[in-house]
Amino acid sequence: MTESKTAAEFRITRRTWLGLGLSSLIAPLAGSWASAAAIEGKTPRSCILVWLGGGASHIDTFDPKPDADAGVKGEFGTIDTVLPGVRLSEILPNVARVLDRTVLIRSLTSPEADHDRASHHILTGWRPNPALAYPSMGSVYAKVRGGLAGNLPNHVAIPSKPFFGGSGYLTSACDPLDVPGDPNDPNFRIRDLTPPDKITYERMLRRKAMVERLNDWSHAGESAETKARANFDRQTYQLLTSPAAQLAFRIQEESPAIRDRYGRNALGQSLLLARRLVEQGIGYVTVNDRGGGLSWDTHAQNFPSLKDRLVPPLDQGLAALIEDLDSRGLMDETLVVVCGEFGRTPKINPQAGRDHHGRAASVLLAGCGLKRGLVLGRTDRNADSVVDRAVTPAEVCATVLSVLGIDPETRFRSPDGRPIPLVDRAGPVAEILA
Amino acid sequence: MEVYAYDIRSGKARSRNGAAMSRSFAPIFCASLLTLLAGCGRSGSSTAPPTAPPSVSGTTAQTSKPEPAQVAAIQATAPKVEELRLDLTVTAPGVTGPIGHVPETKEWKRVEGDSVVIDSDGLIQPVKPGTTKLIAETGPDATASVTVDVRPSEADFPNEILPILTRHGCNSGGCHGRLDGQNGFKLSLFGYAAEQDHRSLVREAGGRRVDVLRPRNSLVLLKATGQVPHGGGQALKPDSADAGRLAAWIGSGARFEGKSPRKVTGVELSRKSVETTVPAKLAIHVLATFDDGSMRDVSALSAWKSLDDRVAKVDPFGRVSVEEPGETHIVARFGSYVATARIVYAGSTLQDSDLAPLAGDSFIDRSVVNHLKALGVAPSEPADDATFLRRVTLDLVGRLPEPAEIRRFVKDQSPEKRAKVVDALLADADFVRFWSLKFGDLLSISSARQGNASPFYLLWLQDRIGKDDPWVDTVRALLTTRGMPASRPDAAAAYSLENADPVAASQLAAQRFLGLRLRCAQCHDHPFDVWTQTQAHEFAAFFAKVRPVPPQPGDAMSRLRIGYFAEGQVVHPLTKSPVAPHVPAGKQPELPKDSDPLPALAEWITGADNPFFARAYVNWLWSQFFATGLVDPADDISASNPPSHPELLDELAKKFRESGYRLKPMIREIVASRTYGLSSAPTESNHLFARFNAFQSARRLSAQQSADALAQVTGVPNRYANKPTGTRAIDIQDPSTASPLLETLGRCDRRDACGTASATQISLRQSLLWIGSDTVDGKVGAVSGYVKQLMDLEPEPDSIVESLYLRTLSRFPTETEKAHWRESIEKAADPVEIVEDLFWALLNTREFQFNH
Repeated sequence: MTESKTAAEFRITRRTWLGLGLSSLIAPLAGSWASAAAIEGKTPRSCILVWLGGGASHIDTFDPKPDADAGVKGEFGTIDTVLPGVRLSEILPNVARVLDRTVLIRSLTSPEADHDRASHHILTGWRPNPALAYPSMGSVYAKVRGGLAGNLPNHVAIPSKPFFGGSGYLTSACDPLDVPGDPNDPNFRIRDLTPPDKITYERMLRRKAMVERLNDWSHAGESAETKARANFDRQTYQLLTSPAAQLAFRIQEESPAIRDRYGRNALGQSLLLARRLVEQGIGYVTVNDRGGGLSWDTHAQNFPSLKDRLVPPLDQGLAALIEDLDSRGLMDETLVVVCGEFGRTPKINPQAGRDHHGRAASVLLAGCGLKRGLVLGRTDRNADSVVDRAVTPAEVCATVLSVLGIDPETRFRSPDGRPIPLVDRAGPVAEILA
Repeated sequence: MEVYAYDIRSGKARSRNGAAMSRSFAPIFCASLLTLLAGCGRSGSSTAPPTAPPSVSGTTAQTSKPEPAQVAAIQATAPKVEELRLDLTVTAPGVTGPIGHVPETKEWKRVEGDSVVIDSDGLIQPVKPGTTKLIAETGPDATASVTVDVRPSEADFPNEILPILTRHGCNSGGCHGRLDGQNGFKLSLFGYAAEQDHRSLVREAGGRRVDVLRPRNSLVLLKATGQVPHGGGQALKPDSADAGRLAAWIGSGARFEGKSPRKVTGVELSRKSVETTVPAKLAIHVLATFDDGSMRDVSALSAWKSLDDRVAKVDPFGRVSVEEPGETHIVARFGSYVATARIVYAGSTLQDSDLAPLAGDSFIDRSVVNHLKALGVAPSEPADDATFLRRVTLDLVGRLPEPAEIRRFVKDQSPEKRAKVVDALLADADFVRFWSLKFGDLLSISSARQGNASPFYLLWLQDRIGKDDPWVDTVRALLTTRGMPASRPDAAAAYSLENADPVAASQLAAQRFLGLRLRCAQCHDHPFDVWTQTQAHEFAAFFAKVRPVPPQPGDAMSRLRIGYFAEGQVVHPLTKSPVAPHVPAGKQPELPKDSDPLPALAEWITGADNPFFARAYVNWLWSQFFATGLVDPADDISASNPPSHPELLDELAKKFRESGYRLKPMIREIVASRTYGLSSAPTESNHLFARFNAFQSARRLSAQQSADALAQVTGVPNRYANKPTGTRAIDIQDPSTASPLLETLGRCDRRDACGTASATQISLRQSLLWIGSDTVDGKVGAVSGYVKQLMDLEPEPDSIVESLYLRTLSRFPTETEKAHWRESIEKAADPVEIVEDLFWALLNTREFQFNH
């Protein structure tokens, strides 16, 4: 794709420049991936992490306990799923339908029960250490695969990264690109990533040329900081002038039918956007679910919050995502991970809420050749402790990285020069690998 | 296995000029130990090169209280440095400074005794107990000698074994030195708690870590040598000297200490400073002194690091190879002690004219010149007037100069015009607002932290900045004001709201006022080379007794009160018992019984003899005017993080004390220096020397500077939630006022102390904001904006270009620039569009986005 040709084709405004014959223009991007893949001898795999920040109540969702004590069991009944003998909470009817395509781990156990510490543990594979901030799985992915895939950043967070979802001791180039805003907003566009209406492609190139000329004449010397900025500027011009990059972020290109299927809400549309980004080659996308302003940290009013606000969008969107990935043939190359930092106490507190509970939580995984329809591990009668096959946060990280083709034993150098494995002494959960 | 220790004592060398030198060293080695380096050549001992080669003779004498050794300065001839592996001192020509030239040593001859051999690598290998005297011919007429005494070893965990763990990184923050250890094996960070580490190693894990009967089967060795899987990989080679030494110690009983325990009281390097004009190889020795008065070469027990590998590399025994022009520090760590040596390699010799840009009578310039001279690096040219005005206006009041100010300043012929403009800016009301942002960042003033007290806190701070009150008084007031923070008279009590967590409060105070990181937040080095964990908790104990307390009768219901809290205490994490307040150095203040200990601590912190207080402040201040502090990061003053210009830091601290701890006189000193006034354009020969102020580095604008500059040049104000139109970013002092613009531009969120300029990072989001956003483009094309106003006047193209340049880049366009843009505008079908594009492009240059 030469610039002059593209310029001629795109002497039009943003509203239209993306609508025209763009499929042909995605080819170069795919091409760059193809060559990257050729080097490694396989297609790079992608990951969508659905982050239930605050800590989702496992007992009210993926690990229901109909026989639990009073004061524990809660308000929800259970339903059959597509997997014989496996029941989910009644508020997850859609997920129940696709459970045969997933691995459900019901025995995640964390030594931490503080949001920040537990998030750090499961997002980085390491317990927090005041001497060293560890990089998140997404930043590790960006580091290993390279910060940019074609013109696209390789690590994206919608709408923003979770605490400790960043680059840790790696450079800020491995941080995710945050895409703020609500993809369910009819006027949604990624802030600052789509040039203003009146700026044609040609005009953007002209402006860029002017800046280059002015920088040549600059009275300001170059410094480490000016060089870092120049690097990000270069990426920005690429993002703004690459139709493929623009298209990747344009959720409006999706048909109304599919948008409905994911659910017309922030989480549903974020999951759809995530699928779209992955389809365009972005390797690691975190959907940081804010629960429509509520968080999963349901210390009070646990039941109405889950039933009316938090769970329905997740139930609908997640099921749609899994079915959509499957029908597009993307499932083999895309890993979906759904988790938060911990579970919630079986005992219902006086505010009708549940509090932080590190000992037990659930995590759902799907895709990338993981087993389908497997439920791993078990908690006790009250979903309080793990009684079978405890899985640690570090094992989850090791699983995610291995499945994505990154050896968790790989060592990066810390700032003080020590080789540090990507995950703290844990291997993948072998039972769920196909 | 029989275990021996080996005691080596350097010979006494005598030179023609009569200087006698001797020193006893007692490095103890295991039988399988490979190496030993005899150390001499103490820095600070300067001897003039004699005209003829001296004779050097050797004798030995074991003394319990050694005199410092000196090496004669001996002219070297045709050296072959590559042959020299074991040496007393430096081995290359061109090495100047306090060490002097030393003889080339080609070969050591074993002349007396057979307790050691010298291996092909030039390292001394002990063989059996006894004494061996080594003599080397150092010239046609000269010899040098070293006596090695090999003796059975005594168990000495703190001095023999723990340093090995440090040397191989076992107890670093990323490994077993982590707070919760690693894989169940926990060591103290860099070995500050020897007894605890000995317990972990010998007693815990069911004693599996050491196997006294079969030392080589000890888990600690199997793991460290990678013979069984180890998360940290192979830290030690199985056949290495250190592995052998560990095995020997375990085999001898793995005891904590022997019959005559001794404690390290300090370490120093045989050289603190080396200056050379050619590539050089040299050896540096770590000399440890003990409480029994003995001294010993512990080079082979130390961890070595060069802060800049490009300039000089160092091997595991302290042998240094100086390779590229520049300056670096060699950092040696023995156990939990740290010492550094400065290495300077001057690439070329300067003429006086090369240093003309810095020829002034400022002590700042003198110091910078001295370093540049030593490095052989010429500074860049001085910045022109317009650049200076832009720079100093941004630095002092946070905005760009207006075009009229630029015209006036450039035209002004008065020789004092720079000083005059500085005075005017210091008197400007914006100075207080802009600098209260910086101090607000330092103190983390925000409603999230201080609640309804934060507006009072800010006003109090601004009042003090406005009056230029002494920093000592400010800090004392912050630490000792009691009462209701949400009130004008007691506003400084807001500081003590943080004392609800005394450990965190003490760490913040150390970082803000003393430039010390007690938190180990970063991994690159540890704080405990200055303070131990116990000291840190004793320091924290000062903060436990003052905190928010229940309101008194008559207090408004919603208001907190800061007062004495008798039950407040800090519990030591290891002993689990309360710790008494205790300062880590200097004179212990008298603490009144059962009352607030903080006034005493405030006196200690602000005392004229506190080695950190004034330095931390001036270093922080320096970092506001240059890309980095003299110590960088500015809030991490530690033995392992040496300043670029130590004497300048001292001098600035002295001036600060003499000025009565006032901000404005210090700012005057800094901005009046020619160093501050240099151009930001590096030259071919000096671009690697930003750290030495060979040029003024381009610094990114702060979030508030950027936002205000954007509004200022476009004539379209930014909007902030619940603030009147036209509110400037420097008046958005509280980060709880949400602003996507300021957040993207990297505003300090004040969740923590982010007083240093480097607290925020350049990000992709910032580039997207400048290049892709409606925010910037909308202001450029706004109907009420500058371009529209300008074009309505239908000016000539030359005048358009000049106006745009003055407004954005704060300078006049050159003739080339004018001609180029004139042509673009004249040729354009739509001149307005071209002018908008040029305006937009100017905003996206580094010349606009950086303070240069």
